[in-house]
Amino acid sequence: MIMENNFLTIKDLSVNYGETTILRNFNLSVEEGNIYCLVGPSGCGKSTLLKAICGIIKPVNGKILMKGQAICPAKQPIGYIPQQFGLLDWLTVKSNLFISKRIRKTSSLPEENHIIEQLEISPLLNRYPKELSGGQQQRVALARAWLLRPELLLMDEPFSSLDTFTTERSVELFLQLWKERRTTTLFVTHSLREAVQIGKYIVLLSKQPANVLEILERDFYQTEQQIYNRLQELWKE
Amino acid sequence: MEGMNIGIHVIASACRILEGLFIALLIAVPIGLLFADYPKINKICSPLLYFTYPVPKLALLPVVMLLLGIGEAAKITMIVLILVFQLIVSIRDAALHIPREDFHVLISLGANKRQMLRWITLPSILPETLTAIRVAIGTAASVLFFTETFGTDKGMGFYIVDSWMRLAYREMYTGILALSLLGFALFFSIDILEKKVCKWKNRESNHKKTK
Repeated sequence: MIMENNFLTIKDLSVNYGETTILRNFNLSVEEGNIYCLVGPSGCGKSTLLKAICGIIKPVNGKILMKGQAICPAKQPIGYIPQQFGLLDWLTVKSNLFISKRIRKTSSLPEENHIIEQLEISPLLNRYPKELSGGQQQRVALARAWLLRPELLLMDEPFSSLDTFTTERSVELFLQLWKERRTTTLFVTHSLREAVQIGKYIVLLSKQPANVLEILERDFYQTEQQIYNRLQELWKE
Repeated sequence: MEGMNIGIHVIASACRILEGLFIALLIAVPIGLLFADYPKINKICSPLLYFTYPVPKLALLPVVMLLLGIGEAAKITMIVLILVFQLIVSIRDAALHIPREDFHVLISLGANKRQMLRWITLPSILPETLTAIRVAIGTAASVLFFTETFGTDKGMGFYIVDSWMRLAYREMYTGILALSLLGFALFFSIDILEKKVCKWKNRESNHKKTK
């Protein structure tokens, strides 16, 4: 059931790419302060959904409300981490981190150094993105999003291009930071294991045009394995 | 005395090239970006661009002289004509090849068009623009040489031809050498400028070498 007084409400959202309908009458309600992991088949529209929320793609129909008002990235800070991290090659890491301050003309935050230290990117500040490893770029992208003090965090498969060890470390760092702020997060992943590890709610999407098949709440299950088994059953169906 | 004498001519030629380059950039950057941003305008105007681009600009010299006389304006205009077409095409193509994903994060931050231009478009097209300048400036210098053989008493073109006419071959060869050094200085300056404003390119290639 879609409740418009939820933190984020997506109602009857439809998005097309040319002739192809990616999302049709998509509905989702998101409560504040939780991580929602979106899982679904490749090409079902997970990334498109995030892009529609942060204004990169204009939907043909429907509405997206944040705290009851039409979502507006210029006014509401939304942290977006795309699949390839979205770092600007011609800016140093430091300039990339603070680009949001320049765009939105905001002032410094007291916890800037803390975030930079926590994500272990202090030694990287004067480097350029192409000089960084995938894991380092991912942490810089995460820091950039956090430094915005976002009300909503959108993460599009941020760990998909990383090796297992780097992913584990990145997930750990992300969750450490997240617990301090408890920012409402939509986290797209193709990994059921990652979804179970990170999300309080796991939103299972159908194939294109995507719709919500089921939302699993982690608290209803005693172990991660149970959730994982349930997800696999639903996936096979 | 001779050194100072030739110095005046080198400076005169250099100033003409730099003025022409400045004017060409003022024209080419907005037009190139306009063509990139508006496909319909690009579709209409590109054939005209391709039609006029291959025309040897020296062939336009009589027209330019007819309209602007034989003074400074004609000489600078010839430099502009050499540079502007190359720059428009390079800037347009560089802007068209900017990956759309580069804009996504700034869109999500609520950036306006001016901010997109400042933070994405202009830095993205900078390397290709400098390359286009590098490629075109050699031709610009040779056209300038030709235009300086009349209607002026300053410039390397005048100096070399005047020396030749007076059978002052030492001065003539000195002038040719000075013109080469001017060309070298221009190319070197563009390289230095590129190293300063496109630092990420140098660091990227150094990083690849050490991998």
